[in-house]
Amino acid sequence: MVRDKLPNGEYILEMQHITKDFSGVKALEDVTFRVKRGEVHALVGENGAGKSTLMKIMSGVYPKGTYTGKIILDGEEKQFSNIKNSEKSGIVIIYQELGLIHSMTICENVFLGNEIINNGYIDWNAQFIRCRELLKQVKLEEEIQTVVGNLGTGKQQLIEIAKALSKDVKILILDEPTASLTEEDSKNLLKLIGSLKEEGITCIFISHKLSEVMSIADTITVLRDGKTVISKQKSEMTQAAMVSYMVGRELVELYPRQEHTIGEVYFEVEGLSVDNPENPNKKLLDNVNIKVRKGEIVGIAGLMGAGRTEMALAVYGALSAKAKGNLIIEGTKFKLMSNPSQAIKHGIGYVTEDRKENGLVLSNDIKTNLTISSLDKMLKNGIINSNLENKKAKESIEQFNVKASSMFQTVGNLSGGNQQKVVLGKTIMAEPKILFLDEPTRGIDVGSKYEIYQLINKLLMQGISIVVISSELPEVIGISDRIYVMCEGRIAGELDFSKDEITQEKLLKLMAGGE
Amino acid sequence: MEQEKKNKIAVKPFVLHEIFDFKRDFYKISLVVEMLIIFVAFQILTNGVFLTARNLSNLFMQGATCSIVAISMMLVIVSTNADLSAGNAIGFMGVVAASLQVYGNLGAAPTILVTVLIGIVIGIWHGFWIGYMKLPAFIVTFASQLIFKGGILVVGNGVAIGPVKKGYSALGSNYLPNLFGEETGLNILSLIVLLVVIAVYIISSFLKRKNQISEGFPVYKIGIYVISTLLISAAIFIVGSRMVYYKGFTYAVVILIVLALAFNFIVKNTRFGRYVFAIGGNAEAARLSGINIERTVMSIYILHGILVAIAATVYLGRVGQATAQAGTGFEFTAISGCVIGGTSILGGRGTIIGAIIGTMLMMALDNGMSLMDVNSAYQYVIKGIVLMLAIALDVISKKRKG
Repeated sequence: MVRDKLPNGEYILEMQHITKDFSGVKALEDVTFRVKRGEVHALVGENGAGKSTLMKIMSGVYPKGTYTGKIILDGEEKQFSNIKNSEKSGIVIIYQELGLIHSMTICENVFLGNEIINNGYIDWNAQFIRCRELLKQVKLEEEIQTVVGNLGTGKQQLIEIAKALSKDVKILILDEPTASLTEEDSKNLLKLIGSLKEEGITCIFISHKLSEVMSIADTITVLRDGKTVISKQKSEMTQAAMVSYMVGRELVELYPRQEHTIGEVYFEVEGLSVDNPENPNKKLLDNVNIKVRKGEIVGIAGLMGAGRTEMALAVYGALSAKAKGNLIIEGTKFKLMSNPSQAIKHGIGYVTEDRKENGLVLSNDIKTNLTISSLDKMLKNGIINSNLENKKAKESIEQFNVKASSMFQTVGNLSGGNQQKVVLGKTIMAEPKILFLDEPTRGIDVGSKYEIYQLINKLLMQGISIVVISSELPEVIGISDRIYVMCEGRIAGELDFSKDEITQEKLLKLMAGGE
Repeated sequence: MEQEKKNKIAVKPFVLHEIFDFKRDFYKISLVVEMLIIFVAFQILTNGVFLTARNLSNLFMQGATCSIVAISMMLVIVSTNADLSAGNAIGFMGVVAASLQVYGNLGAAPTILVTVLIGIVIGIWHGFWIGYMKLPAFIVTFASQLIFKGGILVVGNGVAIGPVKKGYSALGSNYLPNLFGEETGLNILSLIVLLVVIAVYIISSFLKRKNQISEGFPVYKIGIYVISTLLISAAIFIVGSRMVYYKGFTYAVVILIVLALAFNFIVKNTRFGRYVFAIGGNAEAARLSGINIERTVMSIYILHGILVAIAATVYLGRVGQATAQAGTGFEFTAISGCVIGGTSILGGRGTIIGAIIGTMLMMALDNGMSLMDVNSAYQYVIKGIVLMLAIALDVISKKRKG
């Protein structure tokens, strides 16, 4: 008993028998979670397994009284009533969606809400000095007066960490920190976590990317359906074992490749160039040419900022910046589409990388979301034929296996995987011949991912051409017939699966601008 | 034991959430409660004057103008836009129409045509700046408010212009004719209108329920459904029949009913209606779904301009002359009405019927307080507080849903 009370006990944090329910639905059930002093502890699990809920309890977002169980920090029982409270105890959480204010400078952001005050005024000199130290600590080479909005996501992530460090953090929680980072930024971040560990900071690391978990974690805890499945040293764990703990079954094949016939060239992008409105010397896209065959799946790989999304948006007529170039659809040359509705009419479909922000009307029901792009085909004398609309929506829900009580359920209440299926269903209902999927499996669980790959296979069998933009290399490699690698707005290379050209090493080299 | 258990099941306990799904029907329920409170309170405070046939008839006649504006204001707000100029636009169109009637000696039909054309031009003006140039609606329509205020003085020189001709004023103040030469107060044509409205309500709610059942959407039990439908029908009938037996409906009320039904249909059954709600719910998702946002916003403001023109016609017809103060604050009543009636100020949600009931409630508040001789200064304060509370309710309920 006495040993537990000592601040230098083995565990810095213990969460014991945590149970939390949301109006009757158990999100966490009797979860026990122990973190050793100075370790990197990875928390993994499918979406909805309860990882975020557990972290929100730890950081006081769900205050005392809304859950049952004990939180013991440094041998002392704690009850947090808000975030400020937990931060005072040294627990800082960095969310997937970064909380920086884009119009403010690095220094202002780092000390926001935590300013260094002298006689009631902000002591800017002290802040400047401290900020420079912090940036050095996170290895970010930027002027402290730089406006945050001008920096990439990778650098913003580092600023978030600097901000956490300014609060004398003991336990740093990172929720999916690499989800929107490029491979290189991810590597830097993982390295930084390693060096913070050496400085004695304990780190809890939540990630879907199991390879990262394997490379960085000391201990791995797996949650499934609100319960702790296992907590083990990394040395006793493999990636395959982790997956099977997460899904509760052996997942035989991550990428179900299916034989499909590839036809003639169906779609070409010719000489696509886009100027960068903020930097006229560096083009967003520079003479991009790609070809896609009928029934072919083409992957687009590249680092963040390589112009992948911009390319898809320009083809879809949705890029706000001015684009030049041509499209060739079945041999007929077209100018670039001027808006999405024109693109849809020409058989082009686009599924956004950000379903909540750009893909769905969360307050509307499933049916209304599914049919919004296809209402033209459901008109009778200019009026929506509701019988036909219901029928189409029903078919789509069945085809895509959307789990919902009925088509009138509000989309905002669905899980990420099911929301993604609704976005896909909407795009497919407009009957595209070529489909651009932008990060189609980002932030969804392993089971839903597998279903989405199978859906892609089904579409390929129907002769639809598919272009997949993905930051997950195993995914691009696993599903593509051919891969274009983009680098700084240009096509840096092309690799063909049937010629056995695709390897992770080649991809990485091309992405980084090597030959 | 077994027997006891059976008995327990047989006596069904009273379960409130089986009768009301509070979460889903929050606005319907709160609107009914608000209506009951206001009606009962004023009935008592005015010693029974409030619910007399005469006063109700007046209330509906006065409320028709703002309610017509509220119909399209609902669409404007749902698309996350606003129109602060509607009241002064009514004043401006009124002064132009009155001038045409009095100085230009124009007939009713051409006067109305010109008014509607002005409404369309105003709609295009707003649609251009807000839809195509992406200027904030709040500022654009605030600017128009000033422009119309000036326009009223320019055209009317600050003096009252009137009276308008008989044919024109009929639209705003006349009652439906006595088709069969009825001697009593009963107006059969109005009765027919009333019955048609009730029939439309019952049929459409039945079809909606049938559709929901066939798609497995949870609905209220049949008994509760029948009772609530009958109660609402009865309420419509009781309120309506008081007017039917008094003098009948005015043309203004009939215009309101027709517009309400038409726009209800447009909202539910046309692409345009869907697009308005999609834009309000998530503009970027709407754009990527192939919706032409610019054109949709333009269409909203043009329709709104037409309805404001109709409201101006009804209003001028009722008061008979155009003054510099005419229409002031009408946009406030319409916007408050929309919000009280469940239109979300954050966009994406709202109903026509809610907007109209909400606006009528605001008018009832006005009317009741005037009957009570409440000082007009306090009337402003009270109406301001009511709007504030309605918006708070909207935002808080949205937050709670997460």
